[in-house]
Amino acid sequence: MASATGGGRWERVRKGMRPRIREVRRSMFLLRRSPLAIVGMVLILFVVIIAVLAPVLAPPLPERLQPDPSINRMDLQSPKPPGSNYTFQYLGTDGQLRSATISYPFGTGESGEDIYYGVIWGARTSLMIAITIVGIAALIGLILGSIAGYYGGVIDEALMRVTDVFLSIPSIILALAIVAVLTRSLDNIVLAMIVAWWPAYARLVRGQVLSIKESAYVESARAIGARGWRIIFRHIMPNSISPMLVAVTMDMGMVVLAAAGLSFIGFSQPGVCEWGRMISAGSELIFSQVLYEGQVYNPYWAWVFPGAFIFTFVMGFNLLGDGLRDLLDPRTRR
Amino acid sequence: MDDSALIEARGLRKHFPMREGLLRRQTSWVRAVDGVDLCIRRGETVGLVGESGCGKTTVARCLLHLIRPTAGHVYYRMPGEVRRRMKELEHDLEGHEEAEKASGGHGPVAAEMASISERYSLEAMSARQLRVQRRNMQMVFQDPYASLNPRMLVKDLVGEPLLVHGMARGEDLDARVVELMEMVGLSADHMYRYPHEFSGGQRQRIGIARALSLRPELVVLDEPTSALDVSVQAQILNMLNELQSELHLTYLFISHDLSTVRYMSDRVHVMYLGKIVESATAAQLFEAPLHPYTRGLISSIPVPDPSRRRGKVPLAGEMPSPSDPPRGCRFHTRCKHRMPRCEIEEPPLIEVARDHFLACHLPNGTDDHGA
Repeated sequence: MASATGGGRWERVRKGMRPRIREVRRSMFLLRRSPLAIVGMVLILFVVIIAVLAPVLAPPLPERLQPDPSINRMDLQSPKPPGSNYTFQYLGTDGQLRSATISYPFGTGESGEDIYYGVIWGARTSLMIAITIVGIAALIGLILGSIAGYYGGVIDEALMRVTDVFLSIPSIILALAIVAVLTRSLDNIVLAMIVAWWPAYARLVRGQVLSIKESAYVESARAIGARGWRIIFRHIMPNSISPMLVAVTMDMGMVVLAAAGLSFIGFSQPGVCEWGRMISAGSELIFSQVLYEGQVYNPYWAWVFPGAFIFTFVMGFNLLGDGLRDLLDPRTRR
Repeated sequence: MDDSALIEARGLRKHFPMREGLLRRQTSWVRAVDGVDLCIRRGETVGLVGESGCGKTTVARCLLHLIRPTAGHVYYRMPGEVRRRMKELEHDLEGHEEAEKASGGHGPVAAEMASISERYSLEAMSARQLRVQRRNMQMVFQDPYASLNPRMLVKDLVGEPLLVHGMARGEDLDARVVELMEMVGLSADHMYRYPHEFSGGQRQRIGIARALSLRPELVVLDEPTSALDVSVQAQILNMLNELQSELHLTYLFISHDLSTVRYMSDRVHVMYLGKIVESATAAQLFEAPLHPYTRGLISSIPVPDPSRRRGKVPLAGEMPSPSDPPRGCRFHTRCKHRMPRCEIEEPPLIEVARDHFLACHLPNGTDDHGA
């Protein structure tokens, strides 16, 4: 018995971690048996690696940084260093449309911008957009949904009527309206999407909390004299998080798609490496023919590459989300 | 002897609102518990039996104030003299109903009653006081599969009450958890596991360790063995008996299984549709049941002897809905001794023999034993 009690603090922490690691291993094992989830993870990993290695894969080349008349003066005076934010200066703006070459692997767009550079740094933009929007919206939803579900009554009514108002307006339209009122920028798209996205999470969490609140183990926690916050954080939240996890994973893709949509219709600022904005710029060239070095081209590269990356990103999170849903379904587990 | 009540419920009622329709308008009440008096003395085991849905569990939850009763009081550790005084007052109140009403419920008798409630009833406690009070009264839940948080380690489940009440932490807590686990027949190796890794019986042992960790005086056992195999049931019941004498526990044992109630209890209350219809010592109740319902229940216990034919008084029909209980005696719809009076007048629970209470219009219930 000495082995169970003695050993000091570190020993106890280690022992406490062992079964948790075992559980995670088990989950990974179950996840591994779902081939589509693996494909999803590979796709996500691909995008994450690109985002992390962006400075290596597409180093900013100062000699290509030329003033773009569409970028406003303010931005030029204080150019944001790459990596500090999800907005980056778009390189190579000499107004020359090119097909793929060694120095421009994916060709260039109408104003001569490097598609390869934009696509690589766009991975960062998308990941940051997705994590920021989904992270903050999920956190707000988790907190407000738990409070509404656990305390019920007037608090619940008030919070749920607020979410009703938000949910009655299509989220894209709502985000569109918010950005339209504010200035057009990626930051405002993110802000607008958070405002539009959290009510869905609050609803989801509230529903979970309502059912788990009635469970026998929550009553057991009340019977031992646990306080409200302890019941919420230790008993209700860990057991109501699984559908949230699935929704969050799925939404990572959806949010990027929606943000790209907003960018596409012109709510992003110019000069940003964002896939939706790049498709928007390239869409004008879909049916055009350009003469370049004596040959006629259809400059498909201007929209195909950013489109392929959005597809990869969204598909990856959707497949993983599906896999997680199967994995976390309580009916298939235990 | 009757003075040493550890916990006592007077006139306990719990009515749940039924809501219907689009606007969730409250349409009727489910009278889950409709006027229950219950007195549990220190050190004894009181059994509470009845069919499913008669309100046994609701009584338990009201008694521990896991839900607020609609009406009635639960008194904890009320001294004998106060208890006698309160009974006098209750008696006075009945006699002087008119006078008390005239004074708008603020007469001297009502005032004294209120001051007693203020001091001893759980209703008068603040949320904080009630949490502290929970150290003294704990519950073992019916379903060991649902009553343990699936995301907590056994160590945390058993140690949580101690942590919540600030009674132990760190290594001290671990040592206490090991002690508790061994007390209920589990080993220290089981600490770092999740509940789903255990069998039903082991889970119930975890539930018992959790309930006993605070060294409570009263433990409410809400059908602790109904989800378990028969052989495991016996182990758990024997362990509960041993723990009772070891730790000087007081039990309220709730079950629909009469054999286990007989095995465990000193006194037994029989519940039907939210009311107690008969109560007596276990021996008396099982030897000479008086209420037709009790007799029906007892004769439905299977006897493992085909040659022995007992006078069967099977219970016909089903229990009416507690949202619309029958008028008069609640049992009259199923009673074969029904009299016209039973359909109009509700029989009070009166002492027909020493320590034997009965709510039936027949003078001695059904006298024809063994018919």
